[in-house]
Amino acid sequence: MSENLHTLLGPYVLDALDEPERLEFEAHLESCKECRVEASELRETLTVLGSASAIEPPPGLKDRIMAEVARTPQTRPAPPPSAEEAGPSALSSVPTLPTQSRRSLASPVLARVLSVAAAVALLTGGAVLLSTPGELAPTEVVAVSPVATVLDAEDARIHTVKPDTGPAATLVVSRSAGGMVLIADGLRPLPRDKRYQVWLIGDVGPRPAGFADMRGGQAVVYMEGGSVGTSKVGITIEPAAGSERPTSTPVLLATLPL
Amino acid sequence: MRAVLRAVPRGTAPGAGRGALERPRSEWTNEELLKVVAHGDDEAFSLLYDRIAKNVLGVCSRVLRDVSQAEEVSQEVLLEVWRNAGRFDESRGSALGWVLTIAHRRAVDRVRSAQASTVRDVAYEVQNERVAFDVVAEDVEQILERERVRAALCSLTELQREAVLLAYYRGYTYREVAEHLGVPLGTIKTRMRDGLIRLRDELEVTE
Repeated sequence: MSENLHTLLGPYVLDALDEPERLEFEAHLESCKECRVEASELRETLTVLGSASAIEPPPGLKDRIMAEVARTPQTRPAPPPSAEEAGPSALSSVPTLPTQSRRSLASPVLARVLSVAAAVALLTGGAVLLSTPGELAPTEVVAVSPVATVLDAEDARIHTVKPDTGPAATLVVSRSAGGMVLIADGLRPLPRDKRYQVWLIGDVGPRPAGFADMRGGQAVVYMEGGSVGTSKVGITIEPAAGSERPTSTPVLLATLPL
Repeated sequence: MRAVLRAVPRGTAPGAGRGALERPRSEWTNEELLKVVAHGDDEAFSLLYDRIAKNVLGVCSRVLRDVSQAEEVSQEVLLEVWRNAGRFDESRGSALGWVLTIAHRRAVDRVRSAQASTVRDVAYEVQNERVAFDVVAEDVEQILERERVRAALCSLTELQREAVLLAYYRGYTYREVAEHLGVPLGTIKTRMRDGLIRLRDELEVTE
């Protein structure tokens, strides 16, 4: 019986079984660890196949879904898995806060500012944002970049940038430090021969404003000077050496909040 | 460029031994986000959406071949992820894998329920296929990833490839695939499985 059912594994992970066969196979899965492991591996393979067709959703979809989320109750979590399955979890150290206290922290704006504030705290505490944590030798002297100087400045002002396209971003401006820092979430890592290049866009068109460094999923870029004569900031993917003019569609394009 | 020099004493480097809660959420894994989504955290859901919605829409569009239906089903799928986040079991695979499994099943359900009234038009499908590729061709990383998948698919035998793709991209049952290709049921079941295993091995090798 098990031998016969085993042959349904391919059609099962492809959702190519009829309903009765699917139920039969799922019952089999509960008792057959070998099939469970293989099904899970082949699912990950299909995840790669499926992800290759990814399509950027239209902007309205997220608004509709978040509105539904706000009024959709959740089902209770399933009972904990059997002892056989319960391996050590990478998340066992994450305390689960009651919904209410989480929600009070759930303002995206606050979270964004906090994340910048946390970066500032790290800098003023003598630690360094722009180096890989844990890799510093005891007496190593580290150059604090212009990014740190801006984030560190007393007159640093934090603006949330609403993008025309691309992820939301935070702009920190400091007159005393003579520059601005743009921090964008949600940009993907690039292959080695490409970089995110930043452009300030004004009446005379885009001018190059440096490259964004990818730090832990955030793109961080320092721009010297203010935004006088410019109205927008953009980020494009360019060859690692940089381009004189943008050569691809911006992954982020935003009006400066100044 | 002005640069300030600072000494960094041992042991104060940020990040040493920090748990998920102390890292910015943008650095959390999908699995970590999903765990707090299960406790009603809509901000975490919003972050997760930004990472996975395009994959969900991609899978639904592949199967449904209709933009508005794909968006409709994607919305259902993402709401199901919100509702049932507590049922995600990390020991059985990745968060994205779990989400795309739901997406594929819902899309296939929709295709099968609509099948009675729909005549599949091959020319129409081919046309849409091209459109789908044009729409996504903007992200360098994704272009590379798609090339990798294409290469892996090319390593399958023709029968393996057709069996896998007719089921995964078009929502055919294995009986329909067998009928469509004029091949015995047992052969199709086997080709689906060994095709997927081959694909798994190919995609691993080049990772």
